[in-house]
Amino acid sequence: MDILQIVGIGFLATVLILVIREQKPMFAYLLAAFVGVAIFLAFVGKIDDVISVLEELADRSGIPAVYLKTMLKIIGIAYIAEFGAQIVRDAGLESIASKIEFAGKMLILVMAVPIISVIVETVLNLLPA
Amino acid sequence: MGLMEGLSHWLRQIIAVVLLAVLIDLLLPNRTMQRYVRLVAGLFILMTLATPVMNWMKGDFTAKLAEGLDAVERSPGDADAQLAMIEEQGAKLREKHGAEAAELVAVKLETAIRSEVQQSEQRGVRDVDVALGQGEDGSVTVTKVVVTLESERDERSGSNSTPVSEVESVADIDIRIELDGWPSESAATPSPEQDLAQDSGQPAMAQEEDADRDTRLRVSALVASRFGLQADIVEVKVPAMISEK
Repeated sequence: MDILQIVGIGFLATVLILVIREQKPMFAYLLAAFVGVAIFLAFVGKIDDVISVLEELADRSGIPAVYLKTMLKIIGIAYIAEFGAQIVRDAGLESIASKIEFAGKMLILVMAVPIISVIVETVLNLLPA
Repeated sequence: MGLMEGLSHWLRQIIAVVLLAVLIDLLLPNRTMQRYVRLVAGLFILMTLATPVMNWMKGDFTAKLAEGLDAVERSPGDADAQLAMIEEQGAKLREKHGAEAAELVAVKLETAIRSEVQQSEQRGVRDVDVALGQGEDGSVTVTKVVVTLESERDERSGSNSTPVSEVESVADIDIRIELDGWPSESAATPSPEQDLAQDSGQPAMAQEEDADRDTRLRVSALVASRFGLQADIVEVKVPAMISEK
């Protein structure tokens, strides 16, 4: 049911934006951004279910809690960066959108630094000095 | 058995991490981020695969990893803010300690003053209130001491104290002069009934008032000298006689 509503809202917004765009491009952009935010906020809460499943999985299999925490953080960073970048891209500012994506990538890579350092340390210890 | 248990735990971990990685790959919004997320997920899988080796190499690497990941979260740029926060908390704690110490000092001072006044005056002390203030350098100073004595009425019914009776005679003389001066200045000789009224009512009250003032002065001087306070911040209250009557 929800998907029908969302698609309906999307179609409506698209038609409206197409109509408005000729006269007022500014309002067309605002409408697009607003509809995007509304849909995102309406359904971002549903990710809760998925995350609870992941948490249960992590809990039962006994993998360290940091793994899941870090992975969820990566997902969050990816989603938020992507969302912001798309809104900016809608306004036609491709360069700023790519900078936002770059920031997101950097943050994700920073997350990987401790893991890499532990692995490298172990490998170096494996080799005889 | 221990080996089998360890092995099954290890396999379970690997499966869980791979599942986790797949789910996260699914959750990703688009392709631009995918490579990066895959890198991190792959590193996690590698970590899990290498867990036995790492545990063998050096005890608890998981804790170390957790520490590292937490350190990433608190990025070094926040160090100043964190320091400020810690300092603020420290200041708050210090303030709290200071307030508690001041409270304690006030209570101790109150009991000390109370016992001192009771001993020297032979008179009950109803209440001692010590107000503390902070100087600019953070030192605590006594700003106000209010000593409330028991009313004299209660005192008389109990034990007759010598200082109070002494004062009365002194006050008597004072009052008389004032009373004589007043009517003569207003020219007319005092009528007998006026005189009578003043003699019966006013002097008694005035005596007591004066006695009270004397007591007040004495108590405040005592407290001031005993506890090294300035005399003007010591206030001695004697409950009003009128209300007692």
